[in-house]
Amino acid sequence: MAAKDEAKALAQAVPKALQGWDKPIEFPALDTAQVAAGIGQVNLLAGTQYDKVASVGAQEAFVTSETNRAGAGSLVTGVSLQGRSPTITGLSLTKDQYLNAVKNGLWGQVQGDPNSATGFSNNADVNAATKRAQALPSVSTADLQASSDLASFVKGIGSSTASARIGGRNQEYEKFLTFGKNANGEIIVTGISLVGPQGGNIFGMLNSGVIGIAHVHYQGLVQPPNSGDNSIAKVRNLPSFVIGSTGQNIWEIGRANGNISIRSILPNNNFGRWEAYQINADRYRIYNGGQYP
Amino acid sequence: MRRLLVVGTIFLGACATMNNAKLQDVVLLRGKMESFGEIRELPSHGDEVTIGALVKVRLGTVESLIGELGSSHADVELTMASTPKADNLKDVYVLGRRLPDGSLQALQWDYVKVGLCVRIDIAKTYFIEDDLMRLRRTGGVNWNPDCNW
Repeated sequence: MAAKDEAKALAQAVPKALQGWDKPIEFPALDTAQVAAGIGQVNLLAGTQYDKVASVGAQEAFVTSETNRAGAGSLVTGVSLQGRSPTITGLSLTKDQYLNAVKNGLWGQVQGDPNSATGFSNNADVNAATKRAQALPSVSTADLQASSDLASFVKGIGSSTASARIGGRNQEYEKFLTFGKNANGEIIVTGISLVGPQGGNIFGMLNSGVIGIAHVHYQGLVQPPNSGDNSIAKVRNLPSFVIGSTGQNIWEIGRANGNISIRSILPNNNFGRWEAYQINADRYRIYNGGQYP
Repeated sequence: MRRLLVVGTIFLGACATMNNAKLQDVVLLRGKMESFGEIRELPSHGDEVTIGALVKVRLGTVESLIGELGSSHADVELTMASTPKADNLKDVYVLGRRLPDGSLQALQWDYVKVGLCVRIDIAKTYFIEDDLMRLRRTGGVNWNPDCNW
């Protein structure tokens, strides 16, 4: 069966297996990497449970879900396929749901791919393209800053996200999260992904509902925003956050006075001062890379 | 007929020489990151959002695993998602191509601790599958156990 047909079969098989639940079930489109990883036995990650609900092939797929209030079933919040999938999209997790999912191994469901599913091939073409291309101008010059509820959400999930273990032996991948809003206007996590040391492309995660993004600088990396961390604000005009290795330090990347800039997120909805973005973190005056262990 | 055979043989020989020439340009190095230089942005194409930057890296104590660099140090520009801290400079593998101007162009790189995983299409393009298999078999490189080929 072709990968696309298998994906279709999965999308049909799972709702059938979950009939009778009291909330609607939505399935995200499976991205190319997920389809390539194979389709198969479907499992539920519901609270502390992990139940098989359907089998449609040779490999395993995972459905992230939450137990509903009555405890009678689960709301499916996302689908991923076991194997080398570095991305789960289609999540709809409020802060508490996300923290609970992290406690129950959500990040263990994604695994970095040394064959570079989301990473650059880092080949001559990239170098050649870079030499040809001029850096793109910002899509806007208007001020860009995260709402206080989004900043507060990121602050609230920072530590658990930073310390969560990912799938596989190698933990040196940068964790990425996308945020959106649900029908009630609550901020939710809509996707998680991993990018390897060589960098990558997170185009597949950025659908129109995304209102912001965050990623983690694990221990051993320069902690404040640097290198290409300005790309989301610059190309997509979305606020983004860098979470330090322990989750204690969090910086927002936005735009102030027409320039891409960063500021720290402090407790109780307070913020540090904006400082112009630096590709080399040693050049910050307020947020100099050397002061963060 | 005989002339055709001669021409054919010369043509095949020329092809083999071209392939060898390509192969000789390719080096697989193991070295220690010593310092970082200029950092440049990666271009984004349309709606694509690229994560990372091009970082000039100076490598020291360089060992040639495939091909011969002929130097114990190298300067190479690597695509990196984020910059490692100055006190966290690690040993890396760099698969690169020597350009006519003497510079080294990176094709791929990996941390030694994590293990080498050269994309199979790149290995085929540069005719280094056999060398990589030999290095992998003899333990000449720390091959990434997650590398799927």
